[in-house]
Amino acid sequence: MTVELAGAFWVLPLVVVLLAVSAALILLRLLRGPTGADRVVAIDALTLLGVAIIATVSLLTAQAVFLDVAVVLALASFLGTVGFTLLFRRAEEDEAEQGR
Amino acid sequence: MNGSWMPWLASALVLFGALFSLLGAIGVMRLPDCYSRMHAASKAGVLGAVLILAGVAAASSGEVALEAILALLVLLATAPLAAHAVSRAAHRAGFKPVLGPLGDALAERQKQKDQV
Repeated sequence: MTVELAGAFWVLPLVVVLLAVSAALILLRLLRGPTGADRVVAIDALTLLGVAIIATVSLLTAQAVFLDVAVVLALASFLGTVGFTLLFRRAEEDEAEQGR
Repeated sequence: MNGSWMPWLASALVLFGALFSLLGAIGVMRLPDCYSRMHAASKAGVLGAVLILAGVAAASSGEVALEAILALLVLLATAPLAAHAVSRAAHRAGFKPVLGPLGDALAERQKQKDQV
């Protein structure tokens, strides 16, 4: 694919830096996050950021194939987040059984 | 075929997408509890990714618009579902929200259901 961006020589590096700072902030929350729910939220945000980063990589390399990767990563992000949701419920049931 | 404004539109979309991603990340870092963090991640974060994908569609001058818009639609369809599922499961698992002036509507509703 041909990429036409106005001012590409400074827009793309700036975008990469902004996305890297975002990833660092979310990783900090993932490591710090006091509860499990915070960590799941951070993982969800990190995969969304991954979709944005892959779209940027497809601009940097002018390869359209990366967009397919973005679609699959978005779907996998959804499934992974819902899977973590099921883990919450199991933890709740374990607590209920211990209470009995 | 395309006017000379298409590259400018693409640059603006990609830049705003990165800015919104940063905004969402700052929200995930700084907001007080997991519900408001989910709010920042699922609204600002998704808007950032969607704007960048729209920027890719514009930068290729419509060449890969179909794939980019497919990714965009998948994001728009699944991210609210995931956010809703996580917040509801977190509430059921007993994670307490930091309450604002409006209170905890879901807990009140469940209390009403238990009484009936």
